[in-house]
Amino acid sequence: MPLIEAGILSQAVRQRLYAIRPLVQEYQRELPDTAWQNFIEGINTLLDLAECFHAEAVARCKSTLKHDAIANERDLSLHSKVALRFLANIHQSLLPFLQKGTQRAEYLLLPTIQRIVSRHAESAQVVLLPDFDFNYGYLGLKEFAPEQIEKFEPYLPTHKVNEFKERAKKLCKWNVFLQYPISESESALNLCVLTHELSHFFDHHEELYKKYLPQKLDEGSFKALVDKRCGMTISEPGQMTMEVVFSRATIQNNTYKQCISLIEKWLREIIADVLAVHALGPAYFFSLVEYFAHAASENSPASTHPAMAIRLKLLVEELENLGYLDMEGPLKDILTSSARSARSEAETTKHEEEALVAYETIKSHLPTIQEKLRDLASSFAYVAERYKEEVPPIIPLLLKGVAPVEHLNPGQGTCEPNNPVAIVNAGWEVYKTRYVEFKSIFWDRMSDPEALANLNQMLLKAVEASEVVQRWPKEQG
Amino acid sequence: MIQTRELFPASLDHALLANRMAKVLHQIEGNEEPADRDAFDKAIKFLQFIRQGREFTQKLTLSENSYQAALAYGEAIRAIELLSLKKMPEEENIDRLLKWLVEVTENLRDNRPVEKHEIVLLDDFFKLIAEAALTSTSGPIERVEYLY
Repeated sequence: MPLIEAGILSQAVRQRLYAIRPLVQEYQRELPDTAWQNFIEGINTLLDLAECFHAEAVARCKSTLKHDAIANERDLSLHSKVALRFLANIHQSLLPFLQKGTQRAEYLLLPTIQRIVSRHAESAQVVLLPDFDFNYGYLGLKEFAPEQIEKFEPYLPTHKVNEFKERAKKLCKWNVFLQYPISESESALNLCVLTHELSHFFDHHEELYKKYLPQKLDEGSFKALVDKRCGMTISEPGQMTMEVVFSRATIQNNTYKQCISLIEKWLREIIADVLAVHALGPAYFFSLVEYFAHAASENSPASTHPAMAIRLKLLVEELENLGYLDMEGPLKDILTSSARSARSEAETTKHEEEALVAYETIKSHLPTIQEKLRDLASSFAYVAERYKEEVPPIIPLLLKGVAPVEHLNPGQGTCEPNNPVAIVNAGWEVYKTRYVEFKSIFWDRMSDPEALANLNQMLLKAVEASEVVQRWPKEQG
Repeated sequence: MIQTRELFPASLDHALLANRMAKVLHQIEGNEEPADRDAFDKAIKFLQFIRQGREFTQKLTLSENSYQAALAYGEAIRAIELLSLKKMPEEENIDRLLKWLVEVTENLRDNRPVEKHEIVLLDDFFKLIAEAALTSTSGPIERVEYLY
């Protein structure tokens, strides 16, 4: 007698569907934007998929297995569990985004981000979501409905599969969710970290991490870790008994999975960091340092990211490559000093267990990865030369309390929108090197955070307005 | 930070495939013609994928599907460990056992003679794979946190 009968599991599937559908319908009413409607239609497709899969299993059990009670029980139980796990994953992985979407972040940076994403993927919807977790996040769903239809395909009749595929054709190819800490909503300076999340989309779209994966784990550190976990040193596997071999096999397999999972995650973070600093220049570096400060981060490797010092050392190497460490100006001393600290801290960062294997594996491969990414980023890199041309004219405007939306092109005699990258870099330069001067334009009793809030408001306004100015000629036709 | 959302994890796929094989083998054991012959090709591919996972784990190589292959291999190890408690042929080595499982499945697909005990063992293997795969996708049913 099974612990939970197949009949109960089967009923549970129907009840889960009955509970989830009205919830999704409610979000559909509350989220009228195209991006959300598209995503919700995708979720509805998946719910119908689960229902169809389960219904087919029930029908099959009734017709072909009715004379074999044990096989019937096993088959219905398995298919119901699969449907329930699938529905649970939808419930906990996708529905929370709908809830966050109802927070209605009127988002000033969104048009600029959407424009950047559309350049790489025509059929892509981006959503910015405030979150109560104090971290930034990227979730990219590529053809999420067609992918699931493909997985269920062997278990559904052909005409049903075709119906689902037709429905899925109307959905957009990419659904991109960028999360940020809700308390950072008003900080243009800190939100520069979103460039890293956007870079994850670029990596996902181009599948860079697959191309840059190292070919082999670092053998020495891996074997040492497995030996440690086995609690013994083994010289000749063939001499082991089956039980010991299988135990070692299990330990080795689990260790291997942990190591490669870590390497993949770290690699993708490295790719995102390098692309972000090439796209945004010093603004990305400063915003990441600020984020580490706000998060009170420690310099240690994590299950999702390399250690802080390793990341910052990588960024200063890229800033050096972009010409910033040689760039004369107010940022030179700050960047040179940061480079020194990052390099020194990186040398003393401690790695253990699978983190050591991941670090040793990636370390030798890193120069190759950096070279390839630099080459890739060369078409959009915000090099020091460009900074010197675009940023200095913006700074006087900020110091006067003017949102730097556009600049005069003396040759054309027309006003042109300022580049958002230049705007945020100007913001950071003011904050890092001329903050006292900036603050002096306000009344004496204004606190530092209040003055900073004003700087951020000007930057957000400038980014949004420059986007409007940029699009207006196209809208006018 | 990248968030990973696997709506339909590979392990569920493995569980369903293992179930298909179990049904087909049950029909063969009952001297019936199996209805789902496509399951044999899928099973052979899956077993070869497991062997590839073993090779990746042994040679420490990385590729875009090395994690998935290692996952399948992990499920197979568990199934083989449980199988070792039952009577089995003289295969004592994991890779030789996996190779043998591929051969038996190919023989069944190609209608070549297969011993009854071999069918039983293959059947047991896939049932254990289904169990191992479902167990690995099972999530926590309660989350308890204490704030001091």
